Amino acid sequence: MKKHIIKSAILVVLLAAGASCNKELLNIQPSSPTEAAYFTQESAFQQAVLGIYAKLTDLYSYNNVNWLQEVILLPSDELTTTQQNNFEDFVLSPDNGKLNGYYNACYQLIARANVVLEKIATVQDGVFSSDSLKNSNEGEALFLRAFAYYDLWNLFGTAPLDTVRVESQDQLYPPSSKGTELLDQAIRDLGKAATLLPTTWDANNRGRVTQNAAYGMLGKCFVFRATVSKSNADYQAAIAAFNRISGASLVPDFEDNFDYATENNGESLFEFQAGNPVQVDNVYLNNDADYAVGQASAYWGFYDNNYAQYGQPIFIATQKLEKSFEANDPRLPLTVNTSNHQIQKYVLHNQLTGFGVGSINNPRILRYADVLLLKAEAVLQSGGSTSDVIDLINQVRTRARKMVAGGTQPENLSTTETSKSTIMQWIMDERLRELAGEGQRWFDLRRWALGGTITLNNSYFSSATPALMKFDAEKHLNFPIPTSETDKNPNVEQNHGY
Amino acid sequence: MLRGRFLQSLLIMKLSLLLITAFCLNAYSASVYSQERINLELKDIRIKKALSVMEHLYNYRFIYSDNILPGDVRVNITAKNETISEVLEKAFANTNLIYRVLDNNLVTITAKGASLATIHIEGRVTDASSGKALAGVTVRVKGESTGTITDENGAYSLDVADNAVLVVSSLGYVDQEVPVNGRPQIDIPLQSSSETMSEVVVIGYGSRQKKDLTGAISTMDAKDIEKSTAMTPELAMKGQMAGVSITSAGGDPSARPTIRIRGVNTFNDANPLYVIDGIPIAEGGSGISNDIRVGDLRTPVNIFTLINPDDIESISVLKDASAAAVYGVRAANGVILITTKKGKKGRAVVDLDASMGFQNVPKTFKLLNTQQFAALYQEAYASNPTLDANTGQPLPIGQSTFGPTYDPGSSEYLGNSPTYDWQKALLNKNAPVNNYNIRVSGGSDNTSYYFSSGYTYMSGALKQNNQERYTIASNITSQVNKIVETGLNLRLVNENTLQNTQGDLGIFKAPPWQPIYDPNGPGGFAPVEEGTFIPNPDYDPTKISSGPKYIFGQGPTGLWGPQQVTNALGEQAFNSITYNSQTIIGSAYVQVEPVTGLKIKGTVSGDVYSIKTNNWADYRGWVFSQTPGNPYNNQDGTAAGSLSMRQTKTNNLLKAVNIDYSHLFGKHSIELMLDASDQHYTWDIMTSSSTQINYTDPDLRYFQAILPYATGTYLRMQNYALIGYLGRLSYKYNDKYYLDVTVRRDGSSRFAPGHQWGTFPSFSAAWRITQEDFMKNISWLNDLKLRGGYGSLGNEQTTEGFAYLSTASLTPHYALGSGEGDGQGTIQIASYLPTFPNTTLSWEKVYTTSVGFDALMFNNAFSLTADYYHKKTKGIIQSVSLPGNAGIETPTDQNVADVLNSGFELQAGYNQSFGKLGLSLSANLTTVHNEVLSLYKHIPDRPGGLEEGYPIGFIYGYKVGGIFQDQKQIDEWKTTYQDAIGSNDPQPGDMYFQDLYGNPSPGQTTKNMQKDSVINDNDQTYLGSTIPKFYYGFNIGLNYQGFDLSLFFQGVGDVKKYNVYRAEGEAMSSNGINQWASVLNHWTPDNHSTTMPRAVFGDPNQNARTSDRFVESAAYLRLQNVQLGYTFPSAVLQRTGFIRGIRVYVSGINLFTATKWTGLDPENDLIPSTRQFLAGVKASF
Repeated sequence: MKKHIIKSAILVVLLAAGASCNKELLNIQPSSPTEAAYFTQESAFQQAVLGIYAKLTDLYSYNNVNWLQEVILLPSDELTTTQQNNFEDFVLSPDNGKLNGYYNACYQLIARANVVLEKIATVQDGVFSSDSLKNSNEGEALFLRAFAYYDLWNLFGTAPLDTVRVESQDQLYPPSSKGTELLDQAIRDLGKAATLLPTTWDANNRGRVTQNAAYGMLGKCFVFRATVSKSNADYQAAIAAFNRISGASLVPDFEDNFDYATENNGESLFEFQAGNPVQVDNVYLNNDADYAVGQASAYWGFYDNNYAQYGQPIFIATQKLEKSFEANDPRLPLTVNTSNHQIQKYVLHNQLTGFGVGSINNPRILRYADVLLLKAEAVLQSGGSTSDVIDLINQVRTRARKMVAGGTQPENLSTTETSKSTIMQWIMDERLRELAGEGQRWFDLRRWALGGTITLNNSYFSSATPALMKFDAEKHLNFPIPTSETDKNPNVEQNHGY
Repeated sequence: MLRGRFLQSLLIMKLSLLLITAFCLNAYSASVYSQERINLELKDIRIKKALSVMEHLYNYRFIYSDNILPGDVRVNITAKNETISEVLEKAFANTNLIYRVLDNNLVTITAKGASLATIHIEGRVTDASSGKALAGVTVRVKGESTGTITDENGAYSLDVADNAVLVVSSLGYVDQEVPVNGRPQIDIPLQSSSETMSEVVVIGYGSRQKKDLTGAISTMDAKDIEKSTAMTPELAMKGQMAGVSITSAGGDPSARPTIRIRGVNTFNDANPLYVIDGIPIAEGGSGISNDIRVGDLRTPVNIFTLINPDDIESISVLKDASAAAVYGVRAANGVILITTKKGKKGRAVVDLDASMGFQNVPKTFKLLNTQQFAALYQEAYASNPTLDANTGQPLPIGQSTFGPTYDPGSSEYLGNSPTYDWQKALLNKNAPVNNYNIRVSGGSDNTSYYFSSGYTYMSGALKQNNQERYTIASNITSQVNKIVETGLNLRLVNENTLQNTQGDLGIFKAPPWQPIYDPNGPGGFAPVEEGTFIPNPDYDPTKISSGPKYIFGQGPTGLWGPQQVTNALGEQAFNSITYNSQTIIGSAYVQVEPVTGLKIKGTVSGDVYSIKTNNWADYRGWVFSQTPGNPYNNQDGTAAGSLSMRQTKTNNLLKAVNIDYSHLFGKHSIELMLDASDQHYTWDIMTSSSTQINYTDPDLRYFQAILPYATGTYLRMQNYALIGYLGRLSYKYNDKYYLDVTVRRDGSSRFAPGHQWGTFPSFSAAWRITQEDFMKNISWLNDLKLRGGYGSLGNEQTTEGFAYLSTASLTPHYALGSGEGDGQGTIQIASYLPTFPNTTLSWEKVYTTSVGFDALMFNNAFSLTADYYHKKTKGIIQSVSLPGNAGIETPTDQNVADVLNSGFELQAGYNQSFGKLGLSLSANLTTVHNEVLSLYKHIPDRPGGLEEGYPIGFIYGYKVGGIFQDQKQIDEWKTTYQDAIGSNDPQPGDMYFQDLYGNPSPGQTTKNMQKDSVINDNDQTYLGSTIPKFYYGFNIGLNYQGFDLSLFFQGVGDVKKYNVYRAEGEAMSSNGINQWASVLNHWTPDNHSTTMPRAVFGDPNQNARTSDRFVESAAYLRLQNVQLGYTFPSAVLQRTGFIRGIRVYVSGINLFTATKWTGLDPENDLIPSTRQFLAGVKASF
């Protein structure tokens, strides 16, 4: 008996000793797939592509109380707010959290696109079931990356250019871009994307970018570049790109552009696809909050005074915007409630998600009306027929008129007008009216100011708090590069004046 | 609930009575006889010769058999007027012989083990230093269940075998074994354990007498631990040990306190390692900092409530590298060793503890009443009204963001309403605290056992916050035979926590006119929002995107103005958040000792910690929410509420083998210990939830698989393993010179292959100077030991692991397919690669130097321990956000930062008796110098409190210059300065801030000392350290004839905190947050305050910017515990026949705090620490 006990005791001790020496124990794999294991199926590529789109959520959603829309909505003459606001008043410093958020979101989107482009370039044969899907995926990545470059150029001007995936420390410090380098890359990407993207997607995939979207953005980028560079060739290229858009048209009812039920319609070229996760759209988390259901919605609380504003005043129309509408323009009541100046777009036919903060109503990023007006501008600036130009503007005005039963106003503009500056003013005014509150105005003002078409100063903006207005055209056409970049990247130069 | 607890206590008492009757004592009779005195000196003499000399000189005769007296054994005998017993006691000390003095001076000598007769013995037990009688001391016979306790004169008597060994033990004294050897009279002096260096201290992988320690270790024993009423051992340690800083989490019984040992080593996980009975406890979620959901997943319940402080025998804190090196890669933040009570050989002892009490929050915020509130905001708005966008004229307050509730002209005006006290409504008045414990322990020569069972109920400072704990602990060890020993240790804990604190004292911000109760409101509480529902015209049950069945027709509309708050009491009535956890910790070992001194031990141990979160929300509760959603969302229109449950489970399995060899040769002593262990740890989470629960009854609230409203997920959040090899060599010469050398080699799965292994060496030495001959003449110094050590330790807890791999995250999602009436589309899974892999990532390393001394002085009455420590943490993992252009979304872990901690520790004690009055004093003090030495690219994170040359977590902000009293002063100021933060258009009553620095040149992150007259971001500066520069505790103990009184004070010094609640409560700029009463003294044209600026809506001048205006000293001195006890005299108890001791006490916790802090509690303002009063009894049978 005693011997047995001793023997078994020694055995236990030896067993424990043996187990303690098993170095294989350290061989533990993570619970999410490694990169190498992941990109071996077509479905993974679809997920990775959707991951690029998903980054758009940061720009249009509530985002952990750090919603970014004011970065492009408020520094303009169409919207204002009744309290001091750094974007409204151009009190911009490099440590501004929202600018930092916008900057980072754009580069994160670019990084996601760069990963997809790298993986597609090196994908093994047989992973994709068809070349067309592979091409579409490449086109989507290029389009979305170009969109980020476009935003970066319009906001920061000189942000650095990253066209390949950052994988080593020495890639972390690219220099500032110069001039229109960011737009140039966007134009290259969009040109290629247009050749790769499908003309349509099936109903289940509605919302993914198409050839029309690529040509639309391509033309827009050409117009933007041409506004600054005065290049006739760019205007011509813009017209050529716009002309390749096929099948798009203005929807009969202007309001259908802002109604949740009529998303991805015939006028729409590119939208952020706001949605609602099955259970909870947790607007206090990011879309890709770790292991959590984050948000997939858009945020419009700054137009309809959502409680998530926590008592902060909403964005309202400036007097300038209200006065820009001609008498009886049927778009006015759909754009502004003139009694309290609240913006109506997106909130007249809105649908909030379960959280009561987010909305499933898609922000329309590029629509055909915008394209028509840009085309008008390109034709005008490249010396084309002024009556053609006015026809293009009138298409937009006609739709506005026709959506009201028996409506005749606003009247069409006279096609006999030949003064280039008058017609340009018409285009600018029509853009203000048609696209009010859609986040286009500051980018337009900026490019026109850069190109000398207009002169921006404090009086240009009709702020509700003019005493606080600090606009300085020398400085504010480029927003400051965030501290988080300039602190860590010695090759980036801060924009002038910050 | 209360009734249930009362029944429980009755049950426990019944159980204890049963157990007590089972262990009653026997009585013994006595006899006496006389002896002759001996004077003799014999050197190096054979035993037989010595005996024959004594027979020759004295009147004794020795009887023995030759074969038990080996001829070659030699002895020394030196006797001066001693009894024959005393002489033989010394002579036979190192032999196998025992003797018995019989009548007629006949002495029999036999070998050990042979008993000849039962004799009657008696004697007195005294305190060795004072010579005073000790009452209530246990005197028992080794290996048997017989024994007695001493009376008030210290006297005892027993009938025992003549070769028996007595075991004498008493709390606070060193146990002593005394062989009877036939003596009828044995007086026994006991050494006080607090007055000797022979106290046994648990060290990592073993224990050691205090005099033999070389490392820095603080200890605490059961006596002091039991005084705390906390549910968790951490709070029992608060203020008790030098070098150990404990910050209470406030009045929530389940909240986690913060423990920092010798400063703060890292920006990451700075928590020490906990080892309970040799099992390193790991909690799910430790070390993950970049996952925002971890705090939620690990729940707010402190895992260390798993151990009932009443079960703890001792706590040792290993503070320096040489002490903690045995735990290698996990020990950088120090190690807390918790040793639980074990059975002792001898008859069964039953201990019973019971205490009951209640607690209250000592104070609440002083606030404005409704009239003062309305007047303040009308004034604030008038100072800065909103302008009409068209006319440029001021809008009336009723048309601004304040709304008509603030407009005296409006019918909706609330400024004449009563004032409601939200704070009082939330407080849990006279919250009960109950604790019952019963322990049974004992053992035979070969086996000892311990069982305990406990029940604790503690309610919190706020309503619907309480914790209830049942604990069972057991251990048993058995010496199977001469070679094999085995043991089993098992602990089970079941805890229920209700944490339905929908609000805390942050509710002070509620507009005072917002009512709490409403007899017509749901559940009797006042709604916050109103709204009506209409059928959703788009509703289509087949299409989720068509929205809920009902939508708001009107509303939701807030009822009490823009800053109304959630009605926390209403939400509590309808919602609940509960946690239920089970813990099993256990270990089993087998130890063989094939050769004397060589022990080989195999241990398998582990813990399973599982906690379930149950979160119920009743849809009717939406009216109480400040941010209401549509209750009909995500359900079919008939549901009663939503329920989400989460089960997280931590699984920790440890296998170890340990070899220990000790050997004595002459004055040299060596001990070699080798250990190999591996540990595998996982943390799993399962979640399920349903928004379609059809019943409110908790018994009927279960999930029905009503898709798509029910969902579930499973996650493996953490999975890692650790392998460790350890060697420790300890050498001691003549109790004078000591050397310990430890090497630990660890492998961790958290790092890349090739970077998984690290070696952590340390050494320490000690010199007991008082053992040297040249010190023998210094009579006031009883003991002095110098100690010193150096070593390195690792901290692997600071990274989640797999930072070396790029993994795909499937967390993003994106909707596709909306259009043609469907605005929502279908959510699709998306993915991205979040990380920038760092293949060379490794653990943080802490290099520690520690020197100190332990001294005992003045006849052992005064003890002093002093230490100096110097710790450098190198390669602190900073989660570095790479330059924005890289687009890397998860910060990359890099070993880049260094931090220094250094300071002094003092621990002193004094024990003395003055007649019948006993006095004991003890005090400890620790100083901390904390400094960040280097950061990633030297880039400071100033808002985050990180900058080279400053302590971790310092406060950063502006310095106030003063308050402008008139326009003239403003005009003068503006001739020099410009304020870029505010509107730069100050009005009288606004604050001005100091211009301290200029803008740094581009690319520079250092301060530009050249002032630039512009007040902007760069003028923010260091405003104070949030790490206390020193902390201390002191204890005063008095005892007099059975009464004992102790007062325990504890405090921290030289520490600053930003008073965030004062910053909100004195801002006077919002559209309706209630303010502290202190704002009544704000600046007005008639009241030129120099400290409190004017009330102005929107704060255009940014008076409330982060500045020293709100930085306060958070230093405090607290009377933490006062206890008055009475111990019944043993003479009285002896008459009962079975009670061995009873002590009753009353106790007050947190009675008094001296502090300059203007909030409620310098540790936690929103759930402050409570003041408790308790009465209790401790009895043993």
